[in-house]
Amino acid sequence: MSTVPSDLPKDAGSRLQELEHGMFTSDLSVNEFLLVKRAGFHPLGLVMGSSIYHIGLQRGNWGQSQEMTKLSEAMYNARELAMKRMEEEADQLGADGVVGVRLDIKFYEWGSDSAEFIAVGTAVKAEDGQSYRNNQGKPFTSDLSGQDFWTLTQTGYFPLALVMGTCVYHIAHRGIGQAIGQMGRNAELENFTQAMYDARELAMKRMQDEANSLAAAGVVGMRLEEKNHMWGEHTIEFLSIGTAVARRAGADHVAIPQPTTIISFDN
Amino acid sequence: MTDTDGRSAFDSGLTTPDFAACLSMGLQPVALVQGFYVGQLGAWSSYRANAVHTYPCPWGWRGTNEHPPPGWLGTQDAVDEAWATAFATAHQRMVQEAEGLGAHGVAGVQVEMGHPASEQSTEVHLYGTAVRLAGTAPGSLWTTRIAGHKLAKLVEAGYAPVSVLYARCTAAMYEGCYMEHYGSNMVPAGTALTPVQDVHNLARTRALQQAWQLAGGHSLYDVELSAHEGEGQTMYVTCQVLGSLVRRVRPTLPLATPVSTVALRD
Amino acid sequence: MTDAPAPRSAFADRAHQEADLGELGRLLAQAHGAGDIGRGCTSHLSLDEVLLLHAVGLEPASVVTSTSAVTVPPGVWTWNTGQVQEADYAFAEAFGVTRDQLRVQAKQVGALGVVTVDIELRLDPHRFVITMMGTAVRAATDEHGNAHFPVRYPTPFLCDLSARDFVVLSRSGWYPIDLVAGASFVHAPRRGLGAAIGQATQNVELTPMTETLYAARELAMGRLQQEIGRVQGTGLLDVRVVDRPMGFAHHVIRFTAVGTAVKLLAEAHVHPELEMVVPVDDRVAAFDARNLD
Repeated sequence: MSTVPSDLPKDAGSRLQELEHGMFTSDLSVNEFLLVKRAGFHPLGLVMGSSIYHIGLQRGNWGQSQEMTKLSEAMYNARELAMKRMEEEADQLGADGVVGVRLDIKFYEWGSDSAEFIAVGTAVKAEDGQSYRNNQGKPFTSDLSGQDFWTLTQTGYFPLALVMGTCVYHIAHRGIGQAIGQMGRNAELENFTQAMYDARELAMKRMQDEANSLAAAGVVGMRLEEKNHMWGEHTIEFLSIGTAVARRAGADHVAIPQPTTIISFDN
Repeated sequence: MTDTDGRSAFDSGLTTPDFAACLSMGLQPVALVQGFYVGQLGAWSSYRANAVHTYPCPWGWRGTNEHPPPGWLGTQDAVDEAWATAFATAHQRMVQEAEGLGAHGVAGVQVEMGHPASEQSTEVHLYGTAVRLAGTAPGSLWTTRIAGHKLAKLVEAGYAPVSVLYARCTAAMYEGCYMEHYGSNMVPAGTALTPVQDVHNLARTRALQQAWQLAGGHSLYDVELSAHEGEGQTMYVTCQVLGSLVRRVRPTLPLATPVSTVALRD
Repeated sequence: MTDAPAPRSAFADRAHQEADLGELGRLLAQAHGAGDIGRGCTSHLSLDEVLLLHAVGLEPASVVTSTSAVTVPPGVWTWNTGQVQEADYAFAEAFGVTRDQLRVQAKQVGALGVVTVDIELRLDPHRFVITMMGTAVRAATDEHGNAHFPVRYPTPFLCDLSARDFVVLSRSGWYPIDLVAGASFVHAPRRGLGAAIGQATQNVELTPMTETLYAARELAMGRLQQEIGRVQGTGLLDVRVVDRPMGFAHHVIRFTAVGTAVKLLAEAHVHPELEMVVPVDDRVAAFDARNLD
């Protein structure tokens, strides 16, 4: 057993030791478990990372649309901390990767301006003895379900890492004059449109940059989440998140079976 | 809807797929049939539960003016009997209505129960679609909560519907001074709260026992078991069991090995 | 109210003459008046689940249920530091007793185990009440009286997996062993006033807080793993973790994890043959102008 990385809180060690002796825990459903097994992986254990983070203060300029860089940094750094700790737990178990990763943010009543960032997933190890770690030598991470993971492996592609980009943006309030001028008319709120565009573009670009640095072929299951969290209506976090994938060496000609078309009679 | 020969059309509570599945089994819907019963419960407070157990004072006191009497556990048989009568009567009325139509069974039975006027009243309303099996002489009429393809599957699997079944038990527990003792600092965490456990277990066990008796050796499927706890000086736990009674008429056919599939969808 | 109304359907009268019942209709007609050849049972499973269980040699026997209630002494929820040990203990006790009682009931009806156990946790300030309800299953016999379920359990198994999951899992060689739980209740750490002022504008990790919650979560998961080891399971599937502040005491964070310990009892894992399918009955996510308010 390797020593616990100093970054991991001390209590993480003993639980992981038990998992090294063949017992596994997982929040995979039965179907997901069987599909992950079918894809050639065995679950090692539920791994998680958490960080309670104080999010600094930054006030938006009432009439100006702008990125709140300090808040963007906070959201990114805190998630990174949680993800990193989860990866470290997986690393300690000798895992090839983590499937079914969920990122959560919890706001507690007693923790003003702070939030807990959590990453949870199931660490897995290949049964064929080969290494499936990503090109940075780290366990791969993915938020794909067991079903999607199996389907992806059928295509010859393989997850590299969960990639994300975030941008907290303050969207300007309309000037009173402008609001009166537009009253009663159908009109595009151009500054809103532009602000939303900019913010989404920033978030997506940051995610793509992460994917590029991994030399990924693409990002699957990408989604864009928009949340106000605790900042009121005009400050929004745009979070772009997905699984960066690459074609696995030697998987150039993968014949994907023609899927059967069915109509389910389930209610 | 009008029917050109001047007689009325059938009416049915079946959904379209259920209707189609019934027709495929040779079951012709005849009419929506129903049975009602509205009754009165005697005043709850005057009911004396049938005590099955008492909880003596943990401090060893006997009932005195300063001290509450010992706690007890029992069942509110009169209340449960009132509901059982209400259900049985409403069911019987629905069956009679269906028999009058020459039906063989009632499919897709819905059960609604409530207190229409006050807490002191009981209402049971059962309704379903009377169906006739073409070319077959009427026999003892069956009722079931399922319809359509589920009913088809039941028949195919070698079962036949019998009836809708309802059972219930209301258990009551008066805590005496027991909970006062157990709510104090003197009792360590994790100590069993026997009276609370007992009242929950009694309600559920009795309701299931009653269901067994009513089932008369048949199989009760799709059991819905719901328990409700009332707060107060006397704690009531009501457990209700609703299910579909079926009988096995042929040995079960071996099920073909299912195909495992992964759906490509989000 | 006893007189039934006169027949009011024309459709069915005509249908009476159409004698072709089809296969199912004939079966239904044959069933008329036929005796019950089954063993009686109560079950909260659907018919599909019953048929699936039959396919692996099991049949429902009886609905079983058990409740246990335990004390939580007054004062334990007052904001303090560290673990709420009384609550940890009370949870473990209530869960253990309910589970054992459910197994006793399963034994009484001669069952092999209990599937689809529904677990209800009621955590009130002064008491924890845990209820479990499931359908006990027994070995089904064929017409020659032979049982086909391949596994012998020394004591009835319990699982909160659905009958469908149970069947799918057992076809792959894995079987449920027992229900397991791990719990930990912890007081949120208070922040020093000085720290709060100093950090007001900064992005910074609140390390003591992270460590407190980490430790509590690890404790719950560690207890869960101990339980799996105790029942000699090798894994835990579908674990449901609840970590959130208690409704009546926001400064206490609850970590509870409940799931079914499983074990590979066949000689090797058996992969299911999979077929990729495309359902064509997906509901189309349509543009809905009503949402544009």
